[in-house]
Amino acid sequence: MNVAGLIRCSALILFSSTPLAAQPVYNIAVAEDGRYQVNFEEFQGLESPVSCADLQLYEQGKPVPFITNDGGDGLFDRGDSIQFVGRRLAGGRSWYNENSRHNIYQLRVADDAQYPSVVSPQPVQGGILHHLEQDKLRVALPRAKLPRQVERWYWQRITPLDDDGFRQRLNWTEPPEVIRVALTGLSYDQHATAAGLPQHRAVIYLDGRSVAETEWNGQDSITVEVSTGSLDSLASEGALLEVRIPRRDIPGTDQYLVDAVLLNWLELEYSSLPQLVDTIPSRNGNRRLKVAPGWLAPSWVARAPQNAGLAGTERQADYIMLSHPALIDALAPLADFHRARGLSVEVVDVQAVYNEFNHGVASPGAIRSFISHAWQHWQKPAPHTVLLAGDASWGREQDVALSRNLIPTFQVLVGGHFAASDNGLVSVFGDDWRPDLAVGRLPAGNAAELSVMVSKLLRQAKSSPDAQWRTRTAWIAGAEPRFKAISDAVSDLVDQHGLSQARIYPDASSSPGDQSRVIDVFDGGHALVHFLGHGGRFVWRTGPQDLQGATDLFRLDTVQSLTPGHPLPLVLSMTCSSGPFDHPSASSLAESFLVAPERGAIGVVAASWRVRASQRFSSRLVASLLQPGKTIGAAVLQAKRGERRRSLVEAYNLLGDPAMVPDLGGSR
Amino acid sequence: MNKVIAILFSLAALLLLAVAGLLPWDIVGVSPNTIRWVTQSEEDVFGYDVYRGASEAGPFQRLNEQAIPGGGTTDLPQRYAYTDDTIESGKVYWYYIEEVALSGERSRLTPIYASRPKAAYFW
Repeated sequence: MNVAGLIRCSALILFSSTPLAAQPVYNIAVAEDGRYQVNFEEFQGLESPVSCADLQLYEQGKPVPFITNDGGDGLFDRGDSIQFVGRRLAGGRSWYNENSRHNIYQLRVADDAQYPSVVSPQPVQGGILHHLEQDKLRVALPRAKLPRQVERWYWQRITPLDDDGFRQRLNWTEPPEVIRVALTGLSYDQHATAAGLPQHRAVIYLDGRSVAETEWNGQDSITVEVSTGSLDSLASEGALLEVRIPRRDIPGTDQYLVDAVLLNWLELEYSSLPQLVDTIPSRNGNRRLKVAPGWLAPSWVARAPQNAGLAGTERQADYIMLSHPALIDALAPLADFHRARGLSVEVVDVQAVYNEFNHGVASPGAIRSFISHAWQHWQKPAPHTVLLAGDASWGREQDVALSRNLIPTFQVLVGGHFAASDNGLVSVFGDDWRPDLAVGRLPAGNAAELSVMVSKLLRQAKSSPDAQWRTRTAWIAGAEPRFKAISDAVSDLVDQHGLSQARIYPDASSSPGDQSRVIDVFDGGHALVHFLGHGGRFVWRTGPQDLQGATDLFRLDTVQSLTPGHPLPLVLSMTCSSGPFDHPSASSLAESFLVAPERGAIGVVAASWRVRASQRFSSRLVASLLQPGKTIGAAVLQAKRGERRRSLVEAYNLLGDPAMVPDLGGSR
Repeated sequence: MNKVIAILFSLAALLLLAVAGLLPWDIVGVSPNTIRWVTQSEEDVFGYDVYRGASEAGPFQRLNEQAIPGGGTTDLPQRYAYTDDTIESGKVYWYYIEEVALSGERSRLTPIYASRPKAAYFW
């Protein structure tokens, strides 16, 4: 059956006007535009037979036409299937969505279905579009006109360094009328501007023949259109498209110009095609989209969690623990502990949040909507603390089972580049960027990792560290005088509270003795460790990065060499990039502190991208932590709410349980 | 035994001829200098150039025709290597690496390093 037929039939079969809260609900994940078929057997746990009249299909809460292949008996049973036109999840400013690979179609079984208002599809007037795009590179463009609004994912970087540039075989049964190539500038060589040359020059070839040349500047995006009508003898079965950036030199020198360009997407436009079998109407109906031939299988089908009433107003919680279903059992002991402390705790399945706040589609925005709703509309007292139990990942893995994106986070621009930020998830009141609730994350990629973290937290919380331990703090600073000065000033705060301070201020070249002293800080038992200086994803340093690692003071692998034991410190890692928790495969120093069994740290405050050292921010944080009974999360919240630099507020995250009380100086 | 001595004499003779440059074919080589460097993080890096001089004071010349592609913007370590196979035996060379930013700005990434002189070998 062709798609036109599908639309006609389905319009007669079903077009319900309002979504109903019937159960069960199945989420069908769709990655690309296309025609999909899902067999009965994929709806696991669906009791048969089901009357076809009780089936409803929704996308974003709106009914979607579909066909039930029921063999003519009116019952959805073994051997039957449903078919529908599925659409990719589009981004706000991009072909694909920035946060999720999958659009979700929800199949509901409802015996009170409202029947149907027949809608006749409008004939499509426009041409046929074949869009080609692969999201392989994540790139920030801080010099674009609207850096927060430009697309983030690109197909390929093209430079003169590449012998062949970008190459893509285009297949067609007859040549398109127009070929479009979307390019974005990456480099911005000032020498070109000074010499009166464009910063970018790109040449487009079809089957080795130059068909277009374009020039532009900066990190702007352009679309090059090639009208094939002006080209003679274009092959009838397809062509090799190439985009090359020619090498250019700076006039009067022996230096080359820097020219780097990003290829975003390609489009082929046809006024008509002899067959419409492999096309679907576009969402706005003004043209048709060429799609993969045949019936596609969805990426996955899963039964949605039962409606938990999260979007209602009956619930009350002091502490919301948001977790992935695979981790909820491992989280339970921590929830029980806090309930025993007297907190009302809600453990919430993130899938339920997606279902109730975003029609099943995963997104950090759905999490923020949920937290905002709970904070504003649940019973008082409103929740004040949120734990995100699960890792995040900016990767775009197709296989959800391989993804570590269990509890997504926001990607914000800090210093022009991407930084993972949980801050926006709890910035729910007003239009500012400051947080309104305390938040922390346990960045576990699986239940075993979460169990390690929970075990450390519970052992620390249930034991009674001796009074001496609670008064010991350690202050480690890089070699530059400004770092030592800030460290001195902040550590004076703990001095005023009668806490002891071990200060480790190495010279510019780190010695083995310095490294041992830092290890001794952890092994010797300190309640608080504050590092201020140069650092990175895997390292604290005494100076800027060098090529021999001569300034390395504490590295990722050092965590494993720490002596197992308790209690464990709270670490304030006030340096660049020591806490990005959202890489698809690479760890970070902050994550390693948490995930290491029986060693490391009980919690870490760390930045997910480059930040400036700030005496004010460190001082506010430490002063808050010194307040008797204050939780770690509340201390971070207080420090952020008093901070005027957005980059610090957004880049610093708490990895740990925000409801834990650090107990500095024995305040517990 | 005599055969072994004869072979050793032949090899020694070949060695002398080669050093004197009297052989009609080239069997003398010099193992190249390989310059390696690692960055712990990069921001807006287009690529790298390798410069070489005959003395520490220079002058230095860029060895690579095209930039060695950089990592762009990343907080993951990146490893690089450039092989200089245009050296002569017994000579000391001085190298440094220059970073080329997306802005076109060029800045020296490393100090100037001296290579060890390489002896000729035969193959």
